[in-house]
Amino acid sequence: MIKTYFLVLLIFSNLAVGANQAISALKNSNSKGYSRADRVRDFKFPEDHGAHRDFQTEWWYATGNLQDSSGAEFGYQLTIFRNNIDPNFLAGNSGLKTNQIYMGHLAISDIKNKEFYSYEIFQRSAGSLAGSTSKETWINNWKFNWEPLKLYAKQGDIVLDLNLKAQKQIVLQGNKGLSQKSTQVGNASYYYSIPRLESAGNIQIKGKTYQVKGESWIDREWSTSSLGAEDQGWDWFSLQLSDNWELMYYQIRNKSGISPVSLGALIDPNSSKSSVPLEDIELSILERWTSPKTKISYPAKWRLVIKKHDIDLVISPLMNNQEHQFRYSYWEGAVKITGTHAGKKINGKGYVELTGYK
Amino acid sequence: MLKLINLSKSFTEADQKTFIFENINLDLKTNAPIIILGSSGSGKTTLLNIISGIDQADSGEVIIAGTTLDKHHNQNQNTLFRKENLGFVFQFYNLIPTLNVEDNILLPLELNHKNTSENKNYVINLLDRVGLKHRLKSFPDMLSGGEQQRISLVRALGHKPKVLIADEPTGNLDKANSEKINKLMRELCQLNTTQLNTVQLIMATHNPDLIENGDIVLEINNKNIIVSNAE
Amino acid sequence: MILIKSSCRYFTKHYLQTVLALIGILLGVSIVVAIDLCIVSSQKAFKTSLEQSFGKTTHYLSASGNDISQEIYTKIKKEKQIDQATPVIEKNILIKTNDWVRIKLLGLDPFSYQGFKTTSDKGLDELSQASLKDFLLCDNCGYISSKTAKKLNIQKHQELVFQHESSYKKIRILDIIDDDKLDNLILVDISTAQKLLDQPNTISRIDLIIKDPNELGELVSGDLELVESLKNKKSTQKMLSSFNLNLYSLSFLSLIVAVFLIYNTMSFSIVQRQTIFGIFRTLGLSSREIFGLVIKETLILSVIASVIGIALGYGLAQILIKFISQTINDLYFVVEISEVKLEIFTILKGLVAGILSALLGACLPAYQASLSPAIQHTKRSSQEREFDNYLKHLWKISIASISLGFIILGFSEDYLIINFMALALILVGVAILVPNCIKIISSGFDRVLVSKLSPINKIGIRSIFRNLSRTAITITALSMALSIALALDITVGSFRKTVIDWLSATLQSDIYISAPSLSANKTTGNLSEELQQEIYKNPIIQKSSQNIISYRNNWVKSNLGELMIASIDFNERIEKSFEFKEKSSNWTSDFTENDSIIISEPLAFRFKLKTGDSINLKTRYGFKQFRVAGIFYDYGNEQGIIMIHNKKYKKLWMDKKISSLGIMLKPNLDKDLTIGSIKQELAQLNTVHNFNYRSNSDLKQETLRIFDRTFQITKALKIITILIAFISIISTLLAMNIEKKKEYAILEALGTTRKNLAQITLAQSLSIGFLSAIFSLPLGLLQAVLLINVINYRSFGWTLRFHQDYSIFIQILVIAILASLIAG
Repeated sequence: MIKTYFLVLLIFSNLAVGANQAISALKNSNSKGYSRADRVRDFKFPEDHGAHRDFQTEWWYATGNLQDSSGAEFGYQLTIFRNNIDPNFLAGNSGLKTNQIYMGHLAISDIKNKEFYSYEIFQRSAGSLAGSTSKETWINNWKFNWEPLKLYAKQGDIVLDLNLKAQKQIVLQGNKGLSQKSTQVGNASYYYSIPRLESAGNIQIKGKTYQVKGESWIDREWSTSSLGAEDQGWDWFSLQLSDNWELMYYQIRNKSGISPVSLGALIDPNSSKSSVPLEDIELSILERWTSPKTKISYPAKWRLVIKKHDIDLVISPLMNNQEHQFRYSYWEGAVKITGTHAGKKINGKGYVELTGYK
Repeated sequence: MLKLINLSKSFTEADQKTFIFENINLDLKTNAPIIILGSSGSGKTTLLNIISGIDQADSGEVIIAGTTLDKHHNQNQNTLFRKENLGFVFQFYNLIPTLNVEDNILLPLELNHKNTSENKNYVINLLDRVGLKHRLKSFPDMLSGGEQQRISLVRALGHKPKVLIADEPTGNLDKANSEKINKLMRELCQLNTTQLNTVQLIMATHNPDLIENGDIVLEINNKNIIVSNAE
Repeated sequence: MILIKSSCRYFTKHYLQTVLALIGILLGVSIVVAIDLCIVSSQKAFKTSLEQSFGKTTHYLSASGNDISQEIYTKIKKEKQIDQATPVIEKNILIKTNDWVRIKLLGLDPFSYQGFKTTSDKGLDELSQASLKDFLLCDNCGYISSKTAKKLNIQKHQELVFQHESSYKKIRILDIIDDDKLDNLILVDISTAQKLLDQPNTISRIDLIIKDPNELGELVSGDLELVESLKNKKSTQKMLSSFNLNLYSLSFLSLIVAVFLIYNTMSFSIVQRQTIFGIFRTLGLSSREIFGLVIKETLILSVIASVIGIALGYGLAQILIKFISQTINDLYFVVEISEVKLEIFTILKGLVAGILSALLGACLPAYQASLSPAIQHTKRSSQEREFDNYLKHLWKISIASISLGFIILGFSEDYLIINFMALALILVGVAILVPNCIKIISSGFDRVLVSKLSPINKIGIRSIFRNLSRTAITITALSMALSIALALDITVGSFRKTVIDWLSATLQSDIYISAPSLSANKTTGNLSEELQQEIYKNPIIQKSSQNIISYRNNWVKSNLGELMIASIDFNERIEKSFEFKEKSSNWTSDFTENDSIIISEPLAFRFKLKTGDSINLKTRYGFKQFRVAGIFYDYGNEQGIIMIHNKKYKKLWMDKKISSLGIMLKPNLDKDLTIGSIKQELAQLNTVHNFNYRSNSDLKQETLRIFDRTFQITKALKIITILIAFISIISTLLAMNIEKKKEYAILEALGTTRKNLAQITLAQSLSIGFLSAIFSLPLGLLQAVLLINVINYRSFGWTLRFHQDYSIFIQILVIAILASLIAG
């Protein structure tokens, strides 16, 4: 009888419900009935921290690089995804019936011990098992708390418990927060970031607690069907430079190369953003790494040059194995940066997400 | 070279102790062949067994091939001594039935861990000398008595022992074969004798025809031993 | 190398001997391997099946049959932060087809179930995205299995009408899945179940995977109960392990016989090669080297035999597994053992068993060989004299071994494996008395019997006594093998007889009606009230029954853990159906009036309970003390059972459910006829309700059928053991005849015909067979007594009445003589 639970699950995960990473889902799902990111809008906070249920997908994304007092490095990722599986659904008299399905991804990279812990959970947004308000977004015990800014998640071998303090203002990405994902109108997302947050708290790995400090990056994005049919996957960089500048760059890869909608954003110490169009960016892959488990080959070292802004960076993972091996595998991990900016030697840390590789 | 000092041996039957020989002494300084002569039951095999360390005397000691065999010499030491220094020829040939001629004659080399190709060639040459090289792959039960005895002679000498012990080597053979074996034994002992190594023949037999000039003849008589030189 | 060559040549020349020795080890190894393989695969299958029925659930949280608030689940996830918890709704509903069919509605949460999944599955990928969305969002969509679809006569996308608490609703079939695990249920999303059952905010239970029950803390309070779902798994595993141990010990016994066989071959080969060893010694091989040579030979032989034995065992396992899985199915749980896989560990076990037993058998002969004197021609008689010396020591060893065995038996109560080892010690101790006994009786035997025989037969029989060193081993080996067969027969026979007697005493009703048994997990099934009413109201049943007895089986918590309790309607006939091991003088009144219970023997054994002791049971009103008024014999439940009066049970547990009914017919009725017509009525009812019904004799027959099937494997093992012993006779006779070649040649020269020689051999083998049979009787009886009274009692807590059938003795005699005749 229990086997049946599993059957259902199998079906379910094949759909990759809520998995923004599941490219097929993003490409094929029917956008009819959902709201779309087809125009520039006004953002309102804290309201926009909460869910936008009429859109198909949405996520709350926190990544960061931490250190304990001994200097041991850790990377972390806490993501909560929301998916509306049926825009036409009308709630009935069942406590657990809902069209809002949440998914969480949690990871800690223990750089010193070369261990990567990653977890995936699903939950329905009912019976207050998962949900989102302007104050908090949660799935089971995992939580984004906005006022004050806090992150918490406990699963399997790890616990993440951080207090965050924004060092920069909210940055609206793309065109005033409208971030184009393909040339088609509506295939876009609303996207804002808090590119640097001072972070302090505890992480726990297999019962051992580390007091940590470091810097985080928060991304918020919601959309309906945001990839073109030709697209294969994307690379996303969030880089925090030691001279208090940040660089975000995402590129969408398709069969003919890099999609023209790929875009960078350079944020200065005063939180003001300048967009960096694709033609200004030279990104070359220096090394690759093949996952021993999934056999997927990922880029594992890059040189990123933006001549216009006098930026020349080498980006390399803090460790190779930061691959989420879920039903849909992808690489998301902590990186370090060395190079020059405005004629000065700089370094830095950041996070890179790589999806759609084979 | 054979020295017996105060050697005694008895057997017990029906609680009656009977001496085969008692307190015999002997000191032979030559390497001439030694013939122990006597009819069956005279105790010549017993003496031979004691000399070769197979059997132990009640008291006294044997000095043979520079080694003293006495009560302090245990079975294992005797075994090692035999393996290195003695070669045996028996009345019933005693070839290993489950081994062919080649393996039989190479066996002592292997037991002594001397199975180099040089030594092997030496043994094969000996086999050639006794005229049986063509039977290399035969099994003992396919050979005649005379042939078997010639092969056991090769086996006895292949590892270059100091003494060749022969117990009634012709006891099972006809006259012609007896003479042939007797001749071969002496020839091969001679052949084996080099500057470094002399091979002494010690043979027990009831057949006086085997005695040749220059042999030393031992006879057990009334618990004692009589030595004479054959002329 | 040359030495090994010599050995090889010897063994190839005497290939018959060699082959027999090889077969001995080979059979021994193959049995060990086959049984090991079967046990390993059955355990694997057991694990899989458990996982399929329980998932990885360690505990579940429920409110003894009542629904619980879904908030509890939210709390578990959010506050208690339990990773693995999943809500479940499980309810019976009535589906309207031509009739009303009872079926289970199962509501699950596919999200949180992720961690509970066990085996991977295939073939469901084609289910469309749309149907999953429907599964989650549609108000009344579900899946059913193809078998259930057929039963309900429904197709994909059609709707079923069901009744739940006086309202009618519809379920739409999203898809039909070809999976037996889904039989007799409708699978829906948990939210759909809430909707269909009008329970928007509650669930039936929460399945959990937790290490520490305290993780839930104060959440477990009031009505909520945390139940350990692994409990059954553990106790089943324990039951299974004693069953396995019995199998292992059988394979161990067959190895012992193989040891004798290798001893026989090796010592014979040494006697034959005495001259060769003599020459080796003269040529200067030390005794240690000779010992080593024999050991090396044995090693080579045993490795060859073991390798073949492992291959053979693998083949044998394919056959044995059918018996074993059948037995496990009958006795313990339903399990599908799909394949027997050769495991590295099993291969190693087989190799080690083969090599060790061969070495064990060879070490004495090797020692003998190492004693070979240089060149002196050894006579057989000198070896016999040596053997006489052994015999003198054997007395001591035997007595030491037997007393050690009994001492161990006295001290070790709980460890079955140690008990078995003690049994083996006693067995070996008694067995090595055999040569001495042969020696003693041989003189008498000679005077009384042999002297009257013709000279030809004298040669044969006397040679047995003359060659004790050889024949004694064979006779010992053979009588061991026969005694094992005998002991198994007596034990199984006694068990069977005991069960028959018990069944006739216990089964007082003429027809039994019971709920279909659910998985061993929770409470046992119960008969629905509608069904009960229909049965009580049925005119034919009413007319012909004198009494209808109701039973209720349930699990209760106690100070001794969770125990099975059975409540029973009590009357005079029921009273007589119990046979007591011990009881208080006024147990009947205690049982009916006071807080007394009676318990079955295995339960008393498990917890060392006596009459007058007390057990605390958790009733509806909390823990309550009950006094044990008696211990009754029961062979139906290995774990043991508590019997309580129905009246008290109903009051204290407020449980009106009924697990089974027993109909007692009025006297003076034509039993067969009445039972037939009642059965017809029940068959009619069974089309609407799902239940089992059996007449008294059906039940008896079925029980015995299962019983016999269970012990079929002992028959197979018996045959193999006898086969090994049989080979050992042939090998001994062969050895003796080869040794006596010269003697026979002389006899032939003296004018003895070949026929006479055959006669000699026959006389020899018959005497060996006869002597073995004689010795096997006391040996077998002793073993049977120990098996029944010690091993069985200590592993199951069952008293079996010793029962022997004299035909078994005759059977053994016939087997022995037949075997020896064929061998001769």
